[in-house]
Amino acid sequence: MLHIECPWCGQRDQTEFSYGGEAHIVRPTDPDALSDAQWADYLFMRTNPRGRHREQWCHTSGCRRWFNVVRDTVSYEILAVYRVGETPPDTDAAAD
Amino acid sequence: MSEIELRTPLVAVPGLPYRGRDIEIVEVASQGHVNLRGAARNAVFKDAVQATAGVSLPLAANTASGTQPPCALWLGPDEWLLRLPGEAQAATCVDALDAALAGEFFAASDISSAQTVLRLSGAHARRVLSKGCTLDLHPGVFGAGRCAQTNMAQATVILLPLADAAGGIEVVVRRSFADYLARWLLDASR
Repeated sequence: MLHIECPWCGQRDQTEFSYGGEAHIVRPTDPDALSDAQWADYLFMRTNPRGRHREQWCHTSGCRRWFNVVRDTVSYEILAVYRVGETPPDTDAAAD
Repeated sequence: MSEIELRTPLVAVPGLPYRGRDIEIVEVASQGHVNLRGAARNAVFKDAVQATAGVSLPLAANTASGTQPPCALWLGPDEWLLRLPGEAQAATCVDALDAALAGEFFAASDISSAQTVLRLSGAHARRVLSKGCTLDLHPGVFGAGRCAQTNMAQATVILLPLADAAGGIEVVVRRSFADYLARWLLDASR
């Protein structure tokens, strides 16, 4: 069980949260201009790093806000938590 | 036109109200609940809520403006639960806010019939709740003036500590989960 620090509610158990996949995936401003391969890349292709991963979590059973987490996929250690719209903190070259 | 009989969500649960050793569980039915969305930095919005419901919105996470209606509970950085003494007051409050804040970016929804409240009191109230909840419910950490949204035996609830000396807590639960949660709490109390 992970303990996750919600940016608003503080530390809560993982069971209160939902996972939302990789963070900082920007929707293309002009989807019509993309090729099928580019659109598929935006929709489906995600990094799968061994190490630090920026990802989205939602405090589903609490304040229901989305926020970002930098988590190590090997140790599961949570290195940083930051709100949507905030600059990702520097956690020694977090993987993009 | 036939009259619709209003029944509380927990009217059919056997054993409620429950009075055991150092634990009491009762349903506090037919209260007014208003879900409120809006920007806390918008003074017009805050003033209208103060004038209409008579409460000032708490801005710190997981705090409440009081323990008994009328009071406002923090649910998110732009979301609150207004608790009012009765369902009629909730309907009046929503109408008054809609009128006072026409054109403002906000939402007030009367959810009185969607939720109910279970009040647990007595020396063992927090011990019973701790069986189904991972939060620290010690009165020194979670006392009057605080509130929390969390899971209680897998049901999504809002916890509101009361100001009484025995450390009672009110549990705000959705109507569809109320029957399950009440039966779970009754079992946990025995």
